[in-house]
Amino acid sequence: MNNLYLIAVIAGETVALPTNQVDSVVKVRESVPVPSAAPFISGLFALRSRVLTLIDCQFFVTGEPIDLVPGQPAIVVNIGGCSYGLLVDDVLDVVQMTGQAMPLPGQLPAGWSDIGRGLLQVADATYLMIDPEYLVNPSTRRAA
Amino acid sequence: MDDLVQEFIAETRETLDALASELVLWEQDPQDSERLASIFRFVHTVKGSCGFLNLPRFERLSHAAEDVLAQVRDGRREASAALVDAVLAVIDRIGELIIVMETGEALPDGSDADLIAALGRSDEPLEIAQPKAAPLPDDARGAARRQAIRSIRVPLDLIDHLMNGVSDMVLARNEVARCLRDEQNGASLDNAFERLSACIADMRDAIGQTRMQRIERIFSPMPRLVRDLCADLGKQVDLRTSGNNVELDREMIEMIRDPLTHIIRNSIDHGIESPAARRIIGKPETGRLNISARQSGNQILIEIADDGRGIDTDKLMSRALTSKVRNAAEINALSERARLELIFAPGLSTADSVTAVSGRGVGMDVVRSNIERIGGSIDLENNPGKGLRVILRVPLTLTIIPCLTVRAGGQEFAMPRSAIREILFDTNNQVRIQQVGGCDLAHIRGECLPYVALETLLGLELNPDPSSSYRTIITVNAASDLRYALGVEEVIDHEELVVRPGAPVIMADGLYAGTTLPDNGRPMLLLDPLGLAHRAQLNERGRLDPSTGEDAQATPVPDGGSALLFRETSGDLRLIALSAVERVEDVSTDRLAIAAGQVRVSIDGESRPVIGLSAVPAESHVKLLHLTDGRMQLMYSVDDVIDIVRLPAKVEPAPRPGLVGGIALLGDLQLEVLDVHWIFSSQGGAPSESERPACRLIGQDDPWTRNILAPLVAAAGYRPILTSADADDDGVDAVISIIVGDAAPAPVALRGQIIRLSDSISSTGQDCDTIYRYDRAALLGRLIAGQTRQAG
Repeated sequence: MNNLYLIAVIAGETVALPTNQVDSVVKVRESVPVPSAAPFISGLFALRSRVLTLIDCQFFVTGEPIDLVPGQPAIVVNIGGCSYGLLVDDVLDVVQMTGQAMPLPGQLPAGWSDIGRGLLQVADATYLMIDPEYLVNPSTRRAA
Repeated sequence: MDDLVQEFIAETRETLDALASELVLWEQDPQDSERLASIFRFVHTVKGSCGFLNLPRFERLSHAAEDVLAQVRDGRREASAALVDAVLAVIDRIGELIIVMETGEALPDGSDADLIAALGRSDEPLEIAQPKAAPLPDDARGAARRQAIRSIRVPLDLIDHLMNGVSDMVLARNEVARCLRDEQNGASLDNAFERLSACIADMRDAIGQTRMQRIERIFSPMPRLVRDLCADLGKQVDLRTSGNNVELDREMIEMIRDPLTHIIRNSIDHGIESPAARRIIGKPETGRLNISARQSGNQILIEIADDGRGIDTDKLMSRALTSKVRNAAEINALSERARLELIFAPGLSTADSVTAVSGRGVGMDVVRSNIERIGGSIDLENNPGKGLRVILRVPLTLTIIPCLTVRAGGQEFAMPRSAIREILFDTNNQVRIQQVGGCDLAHIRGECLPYVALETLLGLELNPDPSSSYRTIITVNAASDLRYALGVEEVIDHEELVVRPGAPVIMADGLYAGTTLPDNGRPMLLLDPLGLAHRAQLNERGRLDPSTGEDAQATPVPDGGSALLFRETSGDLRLIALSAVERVEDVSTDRLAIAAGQVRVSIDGESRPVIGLSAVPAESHVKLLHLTDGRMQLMYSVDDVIDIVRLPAKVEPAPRPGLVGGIALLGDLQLEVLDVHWIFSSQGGAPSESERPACRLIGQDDPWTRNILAPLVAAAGYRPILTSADADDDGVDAVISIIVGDAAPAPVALRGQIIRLSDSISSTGQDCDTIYRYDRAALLGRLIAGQTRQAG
């Protein structure tokens, strides 16, 4: 069992992503907007010869679209055969965690509780574990 | 048939491998419905495949297992350990038989009655008999297996990986190309690079090809399937397929094979009635089943139409009630269409009895989920009592599509060229855009089309300061009966793009058909013409002008084909055959120059003469027609392009051959029609190198001969060949030989004329074949005379 988690920053807060869903972390130089697409889609960007969809993680939390700073990091995930870049403020570390994820506390604001899947405890820090599958297609869980 | 069996073996083996872990998990927790469903699907698939491959042993086994699993799924039976064992034993037996088949042997005789009986009992643990195949020594079996495998199933991941790699190479190549352009490098580097480019292009094509297949591959086993089904069910069906040569991504072929088979089974089993029943209701005894495939824009449409009894929605609803898929309140609230769609609910079937063919309610739900997984859709057109038409729409993915790139709101988009009929500027006086009742209509040459701006559809800002004062209008054929005019900022280029599906969140809108990465490395969205029409709500309005177009085409008047009406720089209106015009382009005047007494343009990496200009014009841009005869390219400068017209059948020939080949009467206007043949014959330049007569230059290989004499000879229309005086006859049949210098000896055997070029003026005139080396007039005179003689 792989217990490695990628620690990243979304809207100023540190979160954890399971590394088994992460392909790589890349820097995004520029993106092309997708007109009339859902607001959490920041655009398209090219990774070598592939075209990836750039997901604005901050939008889920703050409701404010982020302005892409050239060179900003994105976490590349592959979900359902499609590659996405999750645009984050920063990528900090990879840590190993033991133990089970704890359920989400009830008082989380809507944005965080949507993207979160549980709490993770490592040493003396607690991270919100987020769900990339929700980020790339929020309608799936709402419908379910 | 053989390769179908091979494929069945490979496929079953693969699924067995994938299933192994599921089986173990199911064994641990027999209540797990998800595992049960995947095992059920496997057994069902095996049953389906061996049904038409004529493998009765497999069929018996899988049918028995499926029976039991269906009972478990419906809760009519407990998944006891003994039952699980029995099912596992059946799956193991299938695996063993597959291995036997793979070695190319005949299937061993032997009934599987023991296993099938075991499935019936549920309590006592069972003893599994060993398969009755005589055990082969391991190495012999391995050798036989090596022989049997002739094809390789390459994982799609690998092909995708290759494709990505090649695309990377292409990008790298482009980068190198840029470097080469910026810094002057040697010719050898250029050549090597050319080779590399050709190589890469070739490889990309080849790899792209490996993914494309004709739909024939699925259609060809259909007749057999239909025949066997008919024999089993006592029905008569006439199967017709069309569109066999439609090409589809290999992955798509794999994905639609099973759904298509399911639909056909359903049609024959439930749709088409027995001959007796058909006779009673006055239908011909033989039912009809039409399967057709065609490409429509960026989709492949596969239509399966039968003339059977259609879907009985009432029966479907009562089934839905009894099987508790929906409750009564839900069902009553459903629209007719939604009721029809109950057929896609899992676990529902309209068949009265479970047969070996179908009727277990696996099928339509799997069909739909398979089709939707590849981004397709399935539509039903139910005609109770008369037939059912199933329409599968699957996208074209990873295909290279010729596209037009357009700009709107400062962003670039691609549009499949197949949907584009015409491109016009809104400054064209044939175009009138008018607002009627809140929507815009474009009148183009008497045809009235709904007009929408792409920016409006996509929610983009109209560029307030466009670089050009006019907008471009594209008339789009979104579907056979749906046309509209789309306004964009400008049309940029025509490119062939590798299109891939976008993320589901992007594709969900329906506005986009995919994403692509052009050479500039900025991702681009491919617009879906039909999706745009939906967004503009054009479908509801129907067609605005049914009288034009079709009617005119129905009674074609013989005429001289289409011609382009344009204004010359002098202001005269003239016509040119449209087939000779490749495209119209605005070219920056910077790219024009006077060279060799002609105005020439540097375009597409070549220098081409421009006809119709005597000097570089003062304006910043000129409008050029690209003329082509399929081989040569010429540019023709015009003031403006006005319209496309039909030429009358009779064109009055011009009295003298020249630029104007004839006069056409359009209404009351007499218009000159350009003679395309004359243009190419007069401007086409010299014939190619190998067609020219040879001229041997004999003497030392000195700079004067090479750099001064040879170009003069070449300009006179010869192919200069430098040889030394003592060289043997190299087989070239020179028309003229020129001996350079007084000292050089004349070779013995020379055919054709001989000219000696003298170093000094004094020695000339001794005989008429000796010319002073700078007596240009005399030398050229001889050369031209020689050429006319050659021509004569």
